[in-house]
Amino acid sequence: MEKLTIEKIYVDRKVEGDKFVRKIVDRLPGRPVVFVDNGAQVEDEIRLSPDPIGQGKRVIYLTENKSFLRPCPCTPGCLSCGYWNIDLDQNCPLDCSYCILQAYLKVKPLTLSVNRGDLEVEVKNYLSQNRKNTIRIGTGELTDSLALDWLTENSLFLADLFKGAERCFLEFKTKTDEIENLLKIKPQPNVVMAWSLNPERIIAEEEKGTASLLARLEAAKRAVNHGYRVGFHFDPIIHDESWKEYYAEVVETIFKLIPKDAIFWISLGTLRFPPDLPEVARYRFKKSKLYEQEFVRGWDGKFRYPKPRRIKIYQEIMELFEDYRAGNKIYLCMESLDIYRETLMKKIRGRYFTTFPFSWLR
Amino acid sequence: MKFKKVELSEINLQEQTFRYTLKPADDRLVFSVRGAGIIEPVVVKRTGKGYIPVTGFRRLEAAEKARLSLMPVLELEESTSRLETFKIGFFDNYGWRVFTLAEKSLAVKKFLEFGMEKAEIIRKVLVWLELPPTGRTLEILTQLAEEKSLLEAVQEKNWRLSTVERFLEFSREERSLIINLVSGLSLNRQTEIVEGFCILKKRWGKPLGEILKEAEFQEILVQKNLDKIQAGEKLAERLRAKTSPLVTGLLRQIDGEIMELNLPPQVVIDYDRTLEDHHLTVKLKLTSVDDLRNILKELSYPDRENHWQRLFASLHNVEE
Repeated sequence: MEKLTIEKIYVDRKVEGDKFVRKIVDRLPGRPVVFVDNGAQVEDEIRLSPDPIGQGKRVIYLTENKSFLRPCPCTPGCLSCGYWNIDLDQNCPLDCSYCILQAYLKVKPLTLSVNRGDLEVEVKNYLSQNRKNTIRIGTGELTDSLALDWLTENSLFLADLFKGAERCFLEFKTKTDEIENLLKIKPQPNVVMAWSLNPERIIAEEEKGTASLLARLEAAKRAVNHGYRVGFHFDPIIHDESWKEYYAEVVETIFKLIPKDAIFWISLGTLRFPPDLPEVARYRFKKSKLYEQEFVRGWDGKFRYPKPRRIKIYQEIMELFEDYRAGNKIYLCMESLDIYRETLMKKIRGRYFTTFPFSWLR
Repeated sequence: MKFKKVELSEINLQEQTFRYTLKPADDRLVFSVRGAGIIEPVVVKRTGKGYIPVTGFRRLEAAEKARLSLMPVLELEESTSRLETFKIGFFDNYGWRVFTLAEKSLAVKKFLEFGMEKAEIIRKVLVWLELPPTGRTLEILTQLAEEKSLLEAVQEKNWRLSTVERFLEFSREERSLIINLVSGLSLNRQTEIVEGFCILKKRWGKPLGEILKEAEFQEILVQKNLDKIQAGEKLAERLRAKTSPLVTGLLRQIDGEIMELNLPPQVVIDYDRTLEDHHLTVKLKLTSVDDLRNILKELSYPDRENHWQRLFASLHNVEE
């Protein structure tokens, strides 16, 4: 995996005395530290670069966050999986050509929230209000959960925070093999380590700065051996002439390394993106042909592969997992009930039955 | 600034140093100047014996056409820097109208030429021009301002920044080929054609010249009897079929089945052409209960059954 290049650290004056700030600055020796009044000042610097998004990935901004927990917005008209997000850090040091953060966050730096005390209070309130509910929650929406873990130790802090919350599954979703911190602690039954997976060819071409497929799966194997349960996310699934062959290899490799029972959930989601993403991504990833494929603009304004193609992809990947009797671990991300019906649901005596892995949401 | 009246001949009308607007004086303006003269003074700057215009290029053009001899002017101090002078010209227009992207690119070019720092242009000028204030926008505008033929096309239909960015992915020769193909078409059609060829070029890894040699495109390009608009429509249609073969094929199949149904004119069938929703909407234009009975009877004729079956099968198509 390519090592990250952090060029500069910006510190919000409001938090300059915070212990976490000291910790980060000490771990990044030699980087200039600039104190600013607000994030706009940092963005103002970043935007001068011909590649502001790339530049944003090379600077850290330490500040506080007003609130951390929010339900995953999913997308209107789709079947939600009931996920919750902890937005502890914003922006990702990895550089995937399809990443929607390029359009969503635009010129944001790697923003780390230092007010962990506030997060602690928010999480405790949340858990006390949801004692009887089963919840899945994770930090992987606005960043990779573990890419900066060597620096922030977020995983240790969060694992400790959720200790004992048996019905709340805390997921660390990553494209890296940065699991050392989580291997230092006793595994908790409610902590799930999850990897986004793609064929090696896609990783090499479209997922700059991430770990190879094998490195991810070897890390998953180590996590399982340590006692963790794991999840896999096939998202985004990229279509091309030989997609099935490549994804079959990924599925085969998973089951060579990971015992089926250690897999908690598997999500599938084909490539989708908002209309303003291609113009940013095409410029940043000149060799990528992702955005030159056939797409339709859907009900929510996002572009997706045409429905017949998506259905076929889901059905065939589902079959690949069925060969290992693991079809019941699969759910779809941001897809409509129609697509569920055509793929994961079985119609028996006029009623649809699903193999959706989250029994508490049925 | 000093107000005065000067002879039109004293103003060097060929001098365009501070001009970034592209709209010429039209007949209406000339007519208005003939009727009432120049009411709003233009801003000028003294150089040597005469003056050079800073604002009011259209009014000056109109005054010349209307053969006016005296012009009301506001004269700038000779010591005013070129950058300050240009800023005055820029803001004089700013409140009056929205600039086209071509004019915005020329304004940015002038700010650069007159010594404004790139960072200041990004932070201030791009914000004034309501464009994304990033280094990338500055790059695109600078490139656009250098290409005369592109500037004309962009000005004519007021292209968007994203279309210009896409267009600049082509080589210089390819750009002039496309300009030839799309000139005179509507903005939407131009955008669609630029986007379509860009997709094919990248997807196939071929230069535009070779793409245009494809039989489907050649067929249109060699037809002499097609006018520009018809050729543009056909080109866009062929491009859609090439860039979206799956959806185009299915739509053709579905439309074919609807035609085969040979429905009476009171029945209008509609469906979602993105194929995300597989419902069929049937609209009936009726005036009586008898009408309804007759139409329903017609719709369920046994010889239409197979067509209906095939139509729904196409709408639910899962096989490629």
